[in-house]
Amino acid sequence: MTGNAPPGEAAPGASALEAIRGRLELPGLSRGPRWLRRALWLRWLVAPAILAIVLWAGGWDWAGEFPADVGRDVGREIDNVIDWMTTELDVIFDVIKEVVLTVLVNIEDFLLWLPWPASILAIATVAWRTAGVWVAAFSAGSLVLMASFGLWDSTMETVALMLVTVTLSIAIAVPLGVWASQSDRLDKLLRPILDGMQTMPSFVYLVPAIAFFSLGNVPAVIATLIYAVPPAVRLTNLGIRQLPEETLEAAESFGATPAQLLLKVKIPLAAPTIMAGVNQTTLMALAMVVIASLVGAGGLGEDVNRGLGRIEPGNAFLAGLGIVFLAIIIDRITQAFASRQQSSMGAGGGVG
Amino acid sequence: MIHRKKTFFLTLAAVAACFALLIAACGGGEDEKEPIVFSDLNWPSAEIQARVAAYIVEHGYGYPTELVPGDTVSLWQALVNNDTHVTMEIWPAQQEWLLDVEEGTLVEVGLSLDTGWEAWVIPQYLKDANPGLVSVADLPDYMDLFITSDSQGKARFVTCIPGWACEQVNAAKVESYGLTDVLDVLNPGSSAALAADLEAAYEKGDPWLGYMWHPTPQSVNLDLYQLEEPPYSDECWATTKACAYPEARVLIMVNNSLPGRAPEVVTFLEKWSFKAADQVAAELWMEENNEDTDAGALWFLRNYRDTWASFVPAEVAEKVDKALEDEG
Repeated sequence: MTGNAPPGEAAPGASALEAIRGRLELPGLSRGPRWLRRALWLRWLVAPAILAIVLWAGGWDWAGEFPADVGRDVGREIDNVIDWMTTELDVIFDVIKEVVLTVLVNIEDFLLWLPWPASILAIATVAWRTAGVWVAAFSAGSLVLMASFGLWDSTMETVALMLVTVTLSIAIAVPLGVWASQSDRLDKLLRPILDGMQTMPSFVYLVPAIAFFSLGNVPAVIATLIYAVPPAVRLTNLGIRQLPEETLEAAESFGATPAQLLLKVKIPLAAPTIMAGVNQTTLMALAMVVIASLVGAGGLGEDVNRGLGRIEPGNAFLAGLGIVFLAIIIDRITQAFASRQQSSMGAGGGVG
Repeated sequence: MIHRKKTFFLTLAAVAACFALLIAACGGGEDEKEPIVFSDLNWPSAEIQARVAAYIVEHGYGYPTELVPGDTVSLWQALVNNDTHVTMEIWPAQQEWLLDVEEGTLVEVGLSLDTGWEAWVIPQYLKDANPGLVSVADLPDYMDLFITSDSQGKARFVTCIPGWACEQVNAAKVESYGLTDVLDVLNPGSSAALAADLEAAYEKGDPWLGYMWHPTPQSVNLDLYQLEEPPYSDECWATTKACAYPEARVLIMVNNSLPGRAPEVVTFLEKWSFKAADQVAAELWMEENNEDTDAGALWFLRNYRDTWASFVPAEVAEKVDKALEDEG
């Protein structure tokens, strides 16, 4: 690994560039008239110009449409693959669907069975123990506000959906991130996949997800997973890769096996960064709540969706505010958790 | 260094000159009419109607046209704001709030599609396997067909899109038909999701029960059975809604700026009448040839000349004919 180049080193680099430039210069013209030398860059246009003239003379309308259009054919082939998966892999999808649904329905039933003061008290207590009295007060206050808007059931539905998706996301993302930190090849392979997961418009995979899992919470969980997993993978990977070389060498010199090194040194030391990833994943999952409602997931997203469908921005705003409150509560709690781990690490109690 | 800088500026000047030429080449035709913008709603019948109408307005009446894509809500707002000028499909039965608009902002210029229906449907293959399932009143006996793991022991009923009027209508019907303990009403979230769920069930041959309307790609391409309901009456609709949906009215609406500046276009749209059967034919042709609605609209213009020519004066129709010939 090379460090940052000090400013003084820029000069040799520039002169090397000049040398290459000199070599590229056509020798016959280096002494030609100045205007000719100055217009030398035009030579880069010669080949494209000739090609364009030849094609144009050949009657090809080069400014017109691209000569082939296979888009709809390729699209139809993809449709056929999805249709095939829908019918042939039905059994596999059904198993996934049943497992996710069972967990989700039970959590949801439990949260809705809990009396609301108990839920608020529980959340406020967690907030108080981790993040302090102000966050606790904010949590309790905002949840009471949601209840007073008549959005308690929706909020709990969203919380259940979040619990399931975030747990699943972390269960997938953290091991994957640890693995990627140990294998450069996996890291290279994962990077474009993670990019795709984060940027592919969700509706593109929502419709196949409905075909596989049918309407409701399951395609919503899958779509949210796809969007929310990448940050935790990236940050886990980064956190472990960025650990100082000396610490790891010290652990190795004490005779730590690779497994011990990973489990007892690397992961605990990288915990604050991993927690930052978990925090990002949670917020990404919350951001998907409204998209999830477009495939029939209940909760606050559905209220936003309905409000907009009826052009009642006020109602949509209240439900949207609920999503923001949940995000703030979760963010403050996980961040406080992460910084506590970091400070305990600084005190030297974390490793060992 | 100086030499390189000059080259750079020369290049820049050359690029600028090219752009100037391009702009000058495009800027001709000062006397052109103001463009007419169509709302390009995102379902096939609206897409085809907008394309056919825009083609006639552009080539027959000489107005430049544009299609602005979007969904019901955003394009409704666009029409009110005069960002778009014509919307070819407004479904008042599904969007009651659409008619709740400031007096005079929009002008209703008549019916768009001639027939449509809204109903509770099951796939025809399910009906064939269960001949006794004829009407909504039979649903309690066939409830077991539609139970899924998340439907709380009731029949899974996919209702209409949240925010649409039919969501409340269906809720009222479930209650007045006494089906509260029979149906678990599932909100599909969006029309795309509703369509995808029905298509997937059909693909797998699974039971499916839910709300559907016509014309949609599903109502056209899939063999669906409409569950019978007591016949529609104004009285029932005003009270319990325990009866069939009325025949759907689909309207064309324009922004009130249009009649002033393009009265001949408004006259044309008033005469407009698009037969659902023609729409079905166009969609089947698109499906068969794997074509999009751009091609579908051209196909309609070529094959249904008598239909559209009856909406416009003869000389306008001739201009459209000529444009179609040039299309090759």
